[in-house]
Amino acid sequence: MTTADSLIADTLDRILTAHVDRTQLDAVADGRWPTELWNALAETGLAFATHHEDLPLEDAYASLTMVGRHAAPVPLAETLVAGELLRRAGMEMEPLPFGLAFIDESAMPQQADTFTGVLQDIAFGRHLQRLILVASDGRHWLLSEVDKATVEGCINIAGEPRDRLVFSQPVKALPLSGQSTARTFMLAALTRVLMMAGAIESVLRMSVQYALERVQFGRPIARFQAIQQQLAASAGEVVAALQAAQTARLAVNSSLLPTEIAIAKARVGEAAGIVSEIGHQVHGAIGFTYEHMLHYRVRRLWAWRDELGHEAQWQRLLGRFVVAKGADSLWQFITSPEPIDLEDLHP
Amino acid sequence: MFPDLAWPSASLPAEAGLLRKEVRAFLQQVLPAGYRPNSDFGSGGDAAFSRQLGQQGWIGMTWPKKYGGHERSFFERYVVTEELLAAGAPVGHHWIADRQSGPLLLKFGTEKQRATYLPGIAAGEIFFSIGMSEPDSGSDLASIRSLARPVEAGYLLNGRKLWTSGADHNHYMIALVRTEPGSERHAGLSQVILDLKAEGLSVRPIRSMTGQYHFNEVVFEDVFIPQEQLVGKPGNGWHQVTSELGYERSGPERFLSTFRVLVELVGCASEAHSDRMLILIGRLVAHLMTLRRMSISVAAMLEAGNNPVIEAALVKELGNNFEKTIPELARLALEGRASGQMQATLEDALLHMPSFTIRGGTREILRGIIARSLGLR
Ligand SMILES: Cc1cc2nc3c(=O)[nH]c(=O)nc-3n(C[C@H](O)[C@H](O)[C@H](O)COP(=O)(O)OP(=O)(O)OC[C@H]3O[C@@H](n4cnc5c(N)ncnc54)[C@H](O)[C@@H]3O)c2cc1C
Repeated sequence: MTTADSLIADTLDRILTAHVDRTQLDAVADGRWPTELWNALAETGLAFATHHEDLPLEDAYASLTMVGRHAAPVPLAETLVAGELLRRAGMEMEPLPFGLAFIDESAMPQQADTFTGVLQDIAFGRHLQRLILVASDGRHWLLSEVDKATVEGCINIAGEPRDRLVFSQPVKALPLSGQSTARTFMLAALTRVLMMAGAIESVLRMSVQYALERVQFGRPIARFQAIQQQLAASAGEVVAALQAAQTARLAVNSSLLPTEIAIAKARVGEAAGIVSEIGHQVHGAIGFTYEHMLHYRVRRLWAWRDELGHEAQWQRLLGRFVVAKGADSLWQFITSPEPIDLEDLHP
Repeated sequence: MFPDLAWPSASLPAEAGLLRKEVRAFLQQVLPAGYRPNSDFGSGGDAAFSRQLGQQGWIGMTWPKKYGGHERSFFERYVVTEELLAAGAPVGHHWIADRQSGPLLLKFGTEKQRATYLPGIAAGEIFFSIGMSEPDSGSDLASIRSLARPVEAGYLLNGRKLWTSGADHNHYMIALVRTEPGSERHAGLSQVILDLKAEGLSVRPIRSMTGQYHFNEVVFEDVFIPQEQLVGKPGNGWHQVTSELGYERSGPERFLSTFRVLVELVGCASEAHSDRMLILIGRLVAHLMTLRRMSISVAAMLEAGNNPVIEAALVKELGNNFEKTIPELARLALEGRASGQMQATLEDALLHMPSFTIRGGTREILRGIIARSLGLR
């Protein structure tokens, strides 16, 4: 960790520890906006850190690992990506939460400066006023009247808002210059990688803690080898996930980003499943209750590993590139990776 | 305290790229073209190849020049070892001496021992075995019973070692033995250098399930060990043995043992690929690249002078499982279309696979070490 990393991590850890709890998580799942939490994040400037020139991007995105660790119910990921896009377009960023929407050709704005249509799976859509619309052909727009949409509230398996927004009347759409849809998609995938890495580590920590506290047969279950062996296996997955996530984050300004995202989304997604499974097994029935905090992480892991390309989708892209290069180039690719081809990876 | 599982990311320095080119050019020249079997450091040696490697300066790379070493970094050594393994080179003979015995002598050996053995090891001419396991002592290494009884000017050794890789063709063995009669467990153990041709020492090759002979039983009947063959302090054997685990367990040999299967699989996929095959290859590549980064991160810890025992256990545990995954999944993805070379590599890998999670510390023992670091035991 760099000093900037750990400074951000400490600040965030404090804010999130103070503001994220069960009541808050359930309230957000029931449709409430986490006002205090968001305001605290906005006040530190962390929510808009990718838009400032003073913090390197890789440090700005580092905060998402902490978001994952605490299962914080805020659209920080989308806001950070939006901040970078606005910065690149040379546009101001208002201190508001932002959304991201990926659309295909059929849904693209017909008029140059307005949008009408339906957007699906919008993180925290019901609470948004601003959103970046990302078209498969590379164009991006800023929608500044998102609150004019009719909201069909939807939640994912983790209870996070993933809403359907219906714009039956035209709303203003301001084009953003200088964007690449592939990059925006990769950044969005990176946010999930980092959030997953944080949540994965948190699941292991909770499981170790629980194993030390829970007594059966007259001793803490941590004393049982079967439990030790499972948690050790889980720790290996955690290290791999953290390593892959960190490598992807540090590649945020590199031409290798496609390769690193593919590796990380695939590897971290796989670790998410394994660590969650072991975490539940160690927790026994209590972990299966709504009362317990474990599921707030686990359900997010299940949601995030599917968002922005699940493991197999990224594995396929990586595999396709490697196979096209041929068997004799495999080792060269492993030791000196090249940017893989992202065409046809689009939601 | 919960351990920090976020390891610093490390990458190989720029000068490593140049070295890599040299190694590749060399291997292209000396290895047969085309098909090569898996490179398993535990088998498949070639004394002539080891000598050539020594001439290139690629054994004992990190050691001081005065002992025949080359004073290069752990990263450079890393590049050479991974290139050798990926290419399927016959590294079996010098591997242990280069990885373990040499560094052990550097750290704990006497000046005379260093001067006697290290130049020969670095030249690729002297090969070492590790004598730890015994018939009744595998994972529970502290239970070993081979006894070197102190006598005039040395020790008299009786007992036996088992599963000693390469003892049938290597020159020496560094054995862990009990030098204090009546001592128990970790106390009273010492490391000694044994000449594998010494009087009273007999080597019986044991055929493995692969059909080959790579490990042995070594029996000691009143083998005289001159005092000067003691490595380090008497009674310090346990500490010395465990101090090398970072080297022993974190290297690329812990996840590249079936790499040639992946190479062949990519070759097959170029001819006829299904989505299933592409997804599998992508998955394995994502695992491999992540493991390699973990392993390089540990190399950086070694370079910095640390002793990353837990980290090494994590690399080996994850790496061994990965090595076992490749052939298991490849055979299914091939849907019965394995060609001659693909099939040969696959069978070779399958036959060796059971040993990956046993040699160098079993999966269960490694997980025990990791569990302890998590505070579970
Ligand atoms: C190919 C090969 C090469 C080798 N080369 C060498 C060599 O050169 N020199 C050398 O000294 N040794 C060598 N070995 C031996 C190797 O170090 C041992 O096999 C290993 O330490 C395990 O010992 P074991 O085989 O006696 O198994 P055991 O220790 O008997 O274990 C059997 C099973 O029980 C499990 N087990 C044992 N103890 C525990 C415990 N406390 N908790 C949970 N599970 C446990 C093990 O994990 C394993 O699954 C080699 C082995 C192989 C396979």
